[in-house]
Amino acid sequence: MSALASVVGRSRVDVHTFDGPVLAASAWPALNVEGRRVGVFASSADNGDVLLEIVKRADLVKVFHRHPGHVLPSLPLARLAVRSPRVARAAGRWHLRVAIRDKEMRRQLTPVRTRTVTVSNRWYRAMRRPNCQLITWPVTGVTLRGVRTADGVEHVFDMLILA
Amino acid sequence: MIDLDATLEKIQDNQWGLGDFDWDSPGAESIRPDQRDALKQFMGDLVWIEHIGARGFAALAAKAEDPTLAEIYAWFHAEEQRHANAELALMRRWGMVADDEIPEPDVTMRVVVEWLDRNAETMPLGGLSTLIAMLEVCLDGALVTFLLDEVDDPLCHDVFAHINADESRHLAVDFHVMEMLGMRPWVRESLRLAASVANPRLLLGIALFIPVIGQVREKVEGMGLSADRLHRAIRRFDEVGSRSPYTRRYLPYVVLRQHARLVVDRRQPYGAIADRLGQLTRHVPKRVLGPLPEWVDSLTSRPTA
Repeated sequence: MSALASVVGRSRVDVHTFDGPVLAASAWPALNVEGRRVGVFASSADNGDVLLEIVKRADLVKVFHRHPGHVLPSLPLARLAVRSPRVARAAGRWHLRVAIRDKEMRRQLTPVRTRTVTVSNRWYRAMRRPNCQLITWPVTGVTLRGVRTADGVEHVFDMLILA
Repeated sequence: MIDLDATLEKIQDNQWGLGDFDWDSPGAESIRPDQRDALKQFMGDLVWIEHIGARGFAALAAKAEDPTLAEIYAWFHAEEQRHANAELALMRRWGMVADDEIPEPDVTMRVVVEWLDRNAETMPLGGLSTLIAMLEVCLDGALVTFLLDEVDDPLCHDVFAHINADESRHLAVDFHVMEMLGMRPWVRESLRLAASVANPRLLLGIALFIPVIGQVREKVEGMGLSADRLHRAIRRFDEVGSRSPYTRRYLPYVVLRQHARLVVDRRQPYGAIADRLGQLTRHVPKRVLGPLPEWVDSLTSRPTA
């Protein structure tokens, strides 16, 4: 599932309505995000490395992420844990509890139905940074200026990234 | 019964945002000085009721077994938040709150927020969805119609036309879920429900719910809402639910319908009990409650962020 489809959950939202650059995360080394407001559509924690780099440089990053999976720390034992879904889920819950202190963000990042397991040290580190916001509201549209969510708010950006 | 896939699509096709309204358009001056204080109190409570409702839908989204229903609840969670945001924006338009100010919840509302923050996930899906349905019927049928009779501001009417269109879809899903759950074997479902209600935290929640409902009724009656209007709203809850034989026998629906009848009938001793509980709740010291949970920060009256 593409980053946009996983967040939006419908096909009618056209990301190219946005009057600014819309880029793939793979284009990261060429991106200039310094001092910019960046909207990131993230389908999973796979791009934790890229996200952390963006968050370090950008002025403000909002991550649109609706179906969080289990995220394990990048440790040798964690790689073994991935092989057992039950152990992986337990380890993922522990990692979330340890890595995210904000109760509401922890609730937002708690997997409900998703069983995906990702190994990343940087996903939660990126989320913890004060200039990074997690948005779990459904996306209702992409506008000229940014992204509109179902809570009625339009988030204004200089650039959108599909991670 | 409704088609959940078609309903989800309809929900997604009928989205609106705070940016769709001109919050500086003429009409704000139509709020009379004599109604300002009571209206501020009423709107503040409405914002909190919607915000609490949003939290309820978040818990339902996590509990629903059907993925389409879970997705619908996730959208309803956001829509209730949008309603709270829009009502807050109306308050800002009328000069009742400053730009980033959130109305201070009274102690009873604070206790509910605190309880919900800790326990929303423990509530059984059937009980919570039925409770939300009953509150939405009262909100739509009594409180909002009363507000629109009192306020002449055209923008307020426009905003609530959008809110009511959302609420009618919420109600359709609420009654669908009650009917669906009512189709399950009655004895097994009732035993399961009784087992979940035996949870002390849940019992505390039910005990909290009684004074809150009583206080809201007291406040709106104080503003001039006739008891007749509340009776009509409850009758609607009764009538719509009774159309289906499965909803009619569904235990949470039966219990909450009876409770609703008690709330509006002041001749019953229930009213005195609710009033006393309300007085007790008002005496809970604020310092016991601590700070408001983080999810309250998501309230905003600004169309853009």
